[in-house]
Amino acid sequence: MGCGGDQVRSPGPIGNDWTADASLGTTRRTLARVEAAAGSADPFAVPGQAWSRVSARLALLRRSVTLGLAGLLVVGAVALAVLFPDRRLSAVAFAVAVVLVAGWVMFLVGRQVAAWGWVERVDDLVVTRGVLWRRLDVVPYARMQLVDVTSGPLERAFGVATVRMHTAAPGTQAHLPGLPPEQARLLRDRWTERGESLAAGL
Amino acid sequence: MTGADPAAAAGAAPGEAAPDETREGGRLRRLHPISPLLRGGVLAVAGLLALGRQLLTGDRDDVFGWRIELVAVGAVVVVAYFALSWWSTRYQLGEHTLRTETGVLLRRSRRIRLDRVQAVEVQQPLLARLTGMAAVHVETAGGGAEAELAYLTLSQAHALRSELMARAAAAAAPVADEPAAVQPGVPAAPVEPDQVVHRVPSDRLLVSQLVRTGPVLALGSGVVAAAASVWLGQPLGLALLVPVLLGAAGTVWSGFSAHQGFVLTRGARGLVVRAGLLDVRTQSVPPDRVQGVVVVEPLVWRWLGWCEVQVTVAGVQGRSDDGVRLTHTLVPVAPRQLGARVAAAALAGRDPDGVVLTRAPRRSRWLAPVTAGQLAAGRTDALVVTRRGWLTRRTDVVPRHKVQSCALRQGPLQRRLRLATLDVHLPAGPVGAEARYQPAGPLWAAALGLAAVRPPAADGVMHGTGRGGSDPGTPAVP
Repeated sequence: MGCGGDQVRSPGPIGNDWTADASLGTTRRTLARVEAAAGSADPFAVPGQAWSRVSARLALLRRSVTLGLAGLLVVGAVALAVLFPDRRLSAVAFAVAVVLVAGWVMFLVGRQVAAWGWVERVDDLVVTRGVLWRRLDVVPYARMQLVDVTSGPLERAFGVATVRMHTAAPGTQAHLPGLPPEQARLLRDRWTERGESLAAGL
Repeated sequence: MTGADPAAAAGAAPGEAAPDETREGGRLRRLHPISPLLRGGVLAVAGLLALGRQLLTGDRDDVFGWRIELVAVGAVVVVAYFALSWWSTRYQLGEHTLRTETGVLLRRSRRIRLDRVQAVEVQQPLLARLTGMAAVHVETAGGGAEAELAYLTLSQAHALRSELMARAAAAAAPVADEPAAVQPGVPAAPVEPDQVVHRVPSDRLLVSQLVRTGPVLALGSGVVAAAASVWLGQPLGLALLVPVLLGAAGTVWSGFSAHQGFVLTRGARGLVVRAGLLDVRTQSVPPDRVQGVVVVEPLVWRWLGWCEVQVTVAGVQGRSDDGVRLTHTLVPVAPRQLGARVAAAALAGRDPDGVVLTRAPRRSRWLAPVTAGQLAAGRTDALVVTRRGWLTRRTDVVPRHKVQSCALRQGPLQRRLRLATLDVHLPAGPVGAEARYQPAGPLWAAALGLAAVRPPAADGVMHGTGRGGSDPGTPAVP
């Protein structure tokens, strides 16, 4: 007892406890292969499970919002160009910039929505998201405090809803946007049921 | 007024007024009769003093420009209100519930289930301390329903606290390992002599607060600025430093006053913290409510071999600046070895120093040139431990069966370097375990299997029950 703080600095062999799992070899080559696999197309894939994906309607919603905003800005720029002919060049440049950014966002939205996914394992829920900044949340059902389904006016118009699992920790981010409302309710009921049967609270 | 004599009540068991028996077995009790004066506080005292002086000298018929009759009526109303409030406030400690009745106009009756009690705290604000009184705070999970019993005599408050803790432990664990100690209906089981684990002398505390990272940085920049302004003949830099130094002094003072006279004891129900210069607080930390522990080591402290231990306890939310520091601090300053022992005791005997830490690989220097040398993480069946920070190094320890959830994060740079970061999520508190910049593959495997619902079988204790009997000396991890 009391020497763990120095263990890290000691020159002797350092056990790599993260690799304690039998599936992960200890030799450098195996480790490199595992890491190479982790760096491949889907580094966060859950073994033996396929991601359930959110609805493409979420992409439609986000694209529509992007288009709407970009359209408003372009119309504004055109109006300016007509009203102030001497500023025409900058207005046109602005409109072009808006179109370019909107195009990029349109491309990105597809990838972002495609990156959302979840897997229901026996004891926990695994949620992944993000393209550049990837994230994988693992939430045991036993920690569930409540599950809620929300759907704002825009979401309702596009027929999607967000289901969110809360735990006692504010850091937990287990939510799935862009689900068909009936599926969101189904998930809510299923998770609530599992949470209650496994409940461990704090 | 009631005319009750405070001295007569001082020695008695908690409360002696209201005789009404109820089916719970206990009696509805009133608080100490001096409470209304204390709760009225300094304002009331000052008002009464001013009024009294005015009546004695009697050379003018106004106080602060107010008609003396108005002031007198106002004072009577205030005193009457607090007296009424005292009269209508009663509490009753039953076998399974704590019942409180409060409110003059809007009556409120509240029952707190004892098995939901997270922490019981004895508080002594300045006025109460002068009169030997204390308030008892009862906190429940989520900080929702709480009770504040203000005021009792200090001995009553301590007796009530140990009784509450005993009954709460009994209610939470019907098959406790020492059922004889908790006899419902028998008031105030004698407090077993608690073993003192650690005491912090005032000089050590003051020095430690002075050499924390913040004040040291402030002082360092002060010296540099002073030298620079002498060198350049420009005194302007010094003026800019005044707020910085004042801020640092404030930090040192609040740290000092919150932890002055710090005593950590260990009783049958867990660790008990007692500290405070102006506002003495006593707080219990039952091991089964501990969500995680963090050992904090500022740069200068590492040279001196010191550390601070903070803890996240379910349901404890600090109310004031001082409160936040105290309710989360298990040890304000101690030698590294002792800090590790206390941390292990708070974790029900699971020794964090027995966890082998893996350093972040060398390539993490691209992402954290300064702190990469400190980054490390490790886990066993029972614990997950992460270390980070250079100016202030922190080692966060979380029992795996307390992990609420975890998140693996990877940005574009980390992805290129085949690194990732693992966040461990706990209820709000000082503990924030984060395994930063570890190899992505193994960390991913760790994330998928990190959270455990129950403590490892070696503990032999079901989750959620009291663990008072476990010996903090034996590590649960081989």
